[in-house]
Amino acid sequence: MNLASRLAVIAVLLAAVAGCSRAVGTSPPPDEIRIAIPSDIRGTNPGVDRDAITDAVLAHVVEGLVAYDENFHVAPMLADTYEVSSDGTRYTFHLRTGIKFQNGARVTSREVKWSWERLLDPKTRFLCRDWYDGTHGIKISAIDTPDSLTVVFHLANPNYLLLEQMANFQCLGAVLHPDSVNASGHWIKPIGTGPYEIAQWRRGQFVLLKRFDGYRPRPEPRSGYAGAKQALAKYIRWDVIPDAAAARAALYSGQIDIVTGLQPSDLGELASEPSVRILQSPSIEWLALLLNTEDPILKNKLVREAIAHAIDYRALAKGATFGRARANPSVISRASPYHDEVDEQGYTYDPEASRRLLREAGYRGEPILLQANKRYPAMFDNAIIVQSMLRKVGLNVRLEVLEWATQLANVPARRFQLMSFGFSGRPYPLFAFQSVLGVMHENPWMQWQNGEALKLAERASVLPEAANRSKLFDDMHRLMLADVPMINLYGATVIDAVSDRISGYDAWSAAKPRLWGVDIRAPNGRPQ
Amino acid sequence: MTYVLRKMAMVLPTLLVVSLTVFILMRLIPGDPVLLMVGDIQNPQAIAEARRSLGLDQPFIVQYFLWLKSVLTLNLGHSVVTGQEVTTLIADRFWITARVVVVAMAVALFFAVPAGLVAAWQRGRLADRSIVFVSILFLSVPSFWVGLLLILVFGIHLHWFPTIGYAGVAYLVLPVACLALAQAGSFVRLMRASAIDVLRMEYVAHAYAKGLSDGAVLLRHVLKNAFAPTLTFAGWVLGALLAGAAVIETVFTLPGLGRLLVDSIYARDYPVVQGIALFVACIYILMNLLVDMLYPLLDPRVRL
Repeated sequence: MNLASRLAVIAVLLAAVAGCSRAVGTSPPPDEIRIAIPSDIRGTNPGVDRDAITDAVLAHVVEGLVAYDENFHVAPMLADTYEVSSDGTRYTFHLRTGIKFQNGARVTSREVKWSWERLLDPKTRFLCRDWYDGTHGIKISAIDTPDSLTVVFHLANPNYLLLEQMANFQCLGAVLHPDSVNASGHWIKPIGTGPYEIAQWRRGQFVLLKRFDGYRPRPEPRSGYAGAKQALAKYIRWDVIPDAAAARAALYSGQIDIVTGLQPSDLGELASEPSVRILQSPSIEWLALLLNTEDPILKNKLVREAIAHAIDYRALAKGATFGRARANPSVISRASPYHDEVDEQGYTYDPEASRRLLREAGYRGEPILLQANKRYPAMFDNAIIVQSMLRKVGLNVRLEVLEWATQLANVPARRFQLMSFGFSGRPYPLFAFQSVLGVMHENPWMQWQNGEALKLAERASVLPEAANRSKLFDDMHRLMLADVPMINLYGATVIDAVSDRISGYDAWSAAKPRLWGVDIRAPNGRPQ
Repeated sequence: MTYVLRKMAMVLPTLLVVSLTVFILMRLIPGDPVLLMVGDIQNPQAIAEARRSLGLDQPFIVQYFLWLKSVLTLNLGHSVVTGQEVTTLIADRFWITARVVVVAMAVALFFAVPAGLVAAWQRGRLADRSIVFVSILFLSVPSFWVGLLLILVFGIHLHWFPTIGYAGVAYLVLPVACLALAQAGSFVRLMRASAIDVLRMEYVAHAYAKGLSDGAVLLRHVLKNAFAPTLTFAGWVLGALLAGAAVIETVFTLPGLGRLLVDSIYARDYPVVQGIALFVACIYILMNLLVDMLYPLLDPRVRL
């Protein structure tokens, strides 16, 4: 065979493969939604093998008694109604009737009790057991089932935040069927009550969810993780695409329908794609500058105040997010119903005051390292801008770009002076404060130790009226500003992109994709 | 046979050194797999419990010997991140990498060897210059860039091939093309240089003197003798790529061994990184052995 013949054969083969691929389809099957996730799920055991992505996927498979709605109010989910005793020690949940697990069994109070007792058992290794064992105030002492549709949670001490904690989407408080584990208690798979069930998990590649046909949606409209969860698409495939550019390319080529967690810098490119819709929402995740209050230079409060006054927060938020976010000096997100005018109070941008404070502090140009990473572009961009602003007032700040794992390990080890950091969203203000406030030698992750603030946090969980709690959160915000243990910069922006094949998808401030109520358009443009 | 046995005897000490080096290096990198695992849940008890259950609370030397002991029973341990058996994980991922790499190498050699031969034969003429220009171009352009161009043209604009994931032959076309293009340049250059040397040999002049045609001389006398250095190089490249074509796998979202290694390093998944290092060392040893054994087939003067 001469060279020309060989080339002809190869050309024919390539054309055949190309034809096949077209027949196989670069676009998803007509009854399947494909969404990109940056990493694989850690497992299928809710709250045990978890991270934010795992939680988001499993939230389609399992449900709790309550859930957060779109505006972060607690709403019933598996519970039909609930009551809290006036002393805050007894929570009674009346379950919805006719609800089934994905194995066809009816949901009764027995399974709810089993699920929660399993979560509270140290052998389960539920990562958030400390939320309910008294470490942070709430201590579940007993769970009763007076009848098949009533569950009563007894608390050892009065606490009015159990519902908020149960609705929290980190560590799902999932109600599961006991067949989710084997006779010796080892995990098999989640048999939950959600609108989808796991059909296939090809590790490192995708998780395929199949519609649970026995699902009965709630009558209320879809809202956050609450309300009606109509499984309109038969399949949802969560494709693991670690590279953000590859995920966008897959969206443009029609292989992926939804890409979440996009950066503001991607917006220009996305806008030029006519087949792509961009959805945005202010996020409850927030970006901050951590200050090591044990560092020889930064333990001087005057230096910390100087840093706080050297940053032009409006310019920083605008520059780092292409104008998509506004500065927010509080740990309470603007998307939260608890964000009020007090939370708008922050440090003023005053370079002169900053220079004066540095003189008073006796700062003589000692180098200060600012740590950041490139895995999370916002943290890096913030660090660049902050460094430039701090240098303008005479702070000798040097940037140290680390790999994410290294930077993360530096937080509890306190191996940093300044650090550009980000926090995942906690919808309830107290939980947001508790992610940074605590006794440092007991929990090295804590950034802020203040006795008065700790007392306010304790009081906040035992006050029955939400309005009174809100005042305490305002006081905590003022105390945080006074101590300068960290500087909150701005809330992130949720940016999701959706192909025109999809209808009904919406971005949510919780930065959690929700695929119920989402449909696939037929080629004529109408939902199928 | 003695040569093979001698080589095999070197395997165990080599693997031991590799395992120890990787173990120490991984522990020297700052970062904690448990902190990455628990993520945004700052629960010191959960962190301590996870560390205990993974054996990470033990002294390094104890961790190493425990791991070595399980390796001797062909158990590479479990992934810190997913809990999967490392051997299963490597086998699953290697299969995908092997398919892409072997096909890409075959395609690259299929085009590069004749091209190098023709360039040497037409040395200094237009054909030679064109081949050299194209090969230098392929050599100079980074593989990720070629990958992005292929995605742009064949994925986004033409919609001919899928650009992400792995679910059949069609998914391998672009990664194979990308990898083949990236390697073909160096193969052409090497083959051309070897063929030029061989063309200067007396036995080639003798072959021409016998009245053999250009094609017969090139195929019967030049190709066999000039291919040996290219084969050595190809063996080395094959070993390197089988050990993980991480860039290509990332660009095309292929769940291969290279991506697994990179992800595991980022996640400080010590057992997986250690397992892959051992596996890669075995691949290198095997590829070297294979190339050494193929040499006498091409050049009868070589004896093992």
